[in-house]
Amino acid sequence: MTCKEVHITLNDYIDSQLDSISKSEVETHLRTCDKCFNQYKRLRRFLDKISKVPFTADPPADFSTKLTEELMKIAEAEAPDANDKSKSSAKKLKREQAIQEKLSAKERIKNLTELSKKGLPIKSSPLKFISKVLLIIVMLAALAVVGYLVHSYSKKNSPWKVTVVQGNVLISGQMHENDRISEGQDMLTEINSRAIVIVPSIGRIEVEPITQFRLIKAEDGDNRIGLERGEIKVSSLEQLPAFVTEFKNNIVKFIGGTYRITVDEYGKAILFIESGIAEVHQNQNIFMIDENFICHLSGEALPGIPYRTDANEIFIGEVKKIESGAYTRNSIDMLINTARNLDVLTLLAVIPRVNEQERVSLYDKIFSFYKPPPNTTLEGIIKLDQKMLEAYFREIEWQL
Amino acid sequence: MPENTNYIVYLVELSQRGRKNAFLDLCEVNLKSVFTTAYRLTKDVDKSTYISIQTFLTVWDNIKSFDLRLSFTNWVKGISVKISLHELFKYEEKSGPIEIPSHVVFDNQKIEHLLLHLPRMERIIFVLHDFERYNYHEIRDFLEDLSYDEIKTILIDTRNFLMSKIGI
Repeated sequence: MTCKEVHITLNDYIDSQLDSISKSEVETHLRTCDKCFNQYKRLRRFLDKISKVPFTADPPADFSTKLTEELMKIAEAEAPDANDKSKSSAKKLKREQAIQEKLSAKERIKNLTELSKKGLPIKSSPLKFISKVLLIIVMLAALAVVGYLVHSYSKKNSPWKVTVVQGNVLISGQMHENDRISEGQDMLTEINSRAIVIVPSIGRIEVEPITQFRLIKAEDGDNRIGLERGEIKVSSLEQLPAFVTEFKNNIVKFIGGTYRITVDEYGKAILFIESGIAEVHQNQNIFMIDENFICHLSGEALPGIPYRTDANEIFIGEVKKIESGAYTRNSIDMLINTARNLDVLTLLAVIPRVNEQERVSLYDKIFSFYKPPPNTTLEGIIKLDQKMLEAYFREIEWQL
Repeated sequence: MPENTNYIVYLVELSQRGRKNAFLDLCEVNLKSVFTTAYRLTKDVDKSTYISIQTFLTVWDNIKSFDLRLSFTNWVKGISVKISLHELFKYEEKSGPIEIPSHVVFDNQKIEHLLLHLPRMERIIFVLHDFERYNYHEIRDFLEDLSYDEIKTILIDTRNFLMSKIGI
């Protein structure tokens, strides 16, 4: 199945309206295509949000009186029942309202007809050769040059619009109120100053006080900044890894969603993924960080072990010990005993930091929550096979 | 299919025997759900109040023939949707800003606000499918002028529009 086909059928997939073959094809594609997987996650996030919107519009205060009056009019014709004692407590009714709201979510029907797909007509332009071949070649060459120039220009995605929310903002050392920042320029927010930068086609960056960054590149599909210090929050609607933040030896690629990075004066950073997913590239290694995870990064050392913001304190404490290398077997046991299903990506990230025997214990715990994908084995994980670790990460992320 | 709780079965049985207070309890259990759906569909408090009352009166008139093997909540909701759509298509919808009355308090104002500003057909289909969980065929039963594919296309476009507005 191609990306285009998945794009067409994604809503059917999420609404459980595909037959088992199409469903399996979509799932196979989603497991291997970041772009489509992020579209899927975006849609799922939206529908999750919608499903949590309760029935909370209150009718007018006199509604019950009106309804009772109307019912009484009808009931007058019927025998009155003065001894009716069935009126229940308000508490019981409220509980029943909640139960009924929950129950009213009906199961969606499956196996419905797939939307008919129409292929795009392919245009062909027959080229007629005429006698002045040389002239045509010259014209084609000229067109190619113009096309290249137009293509290069159209790929440009700068300048980015800067809106000062509060205080003072310097762009390339000059103070600006509301302005734009172009490739190669620096931006600095002073104390108590904030700004919002709009990145065309991508989203926006909220820049906190005392933050400095350089706009390194601004092209379609490749927008990167170098964050020197401070804090930014990036909200990206782009489903491709089209926005990159660089600092020290780390390159962080974001794939949709919202994320916050804080870099201190020593180049140590805290990365928090509110939604979406990020890849940290460091010395040819790639580390995946999922939404709701925090990760500490420093210039030279390995990235910290990512953990969920809602993980319990004992679990986080043991993660820190392992991260620093100052841990005992007891730390591994504590980690395993306190891990919830939501913490398994942390356990997976711990595996490369511990010895082989401890890896087996961690693998068993992860396995108890999520089975590995096909072709991912205990032996491969223990030997730290990068492909298998990544495949297991994606499988867990998929199921989470 | 959602099941009826023992309490709902008890109230329905009493109502079927003509017990008004039991029926008022049933109304109270379903009131917010019915009123909210009517308001999301019609954008009008007075109409929603009228629709809610008409819904419960219709339920009262027909409760003796209600089969307890079916979901009572879904039965009530189906009646309220039919009455809402009947009211909705009686008149052309007014355009312009919508004032949400102070006593109508939604938990997620942004989504509700966007919803109320959607064009009529987009709003109906989105509410019925994504809020009320009706499938395309059931929605088509409510909106006979639209084809299955048209309903689906409108829903997908509306989802995309709302996602971009909410910033997802």
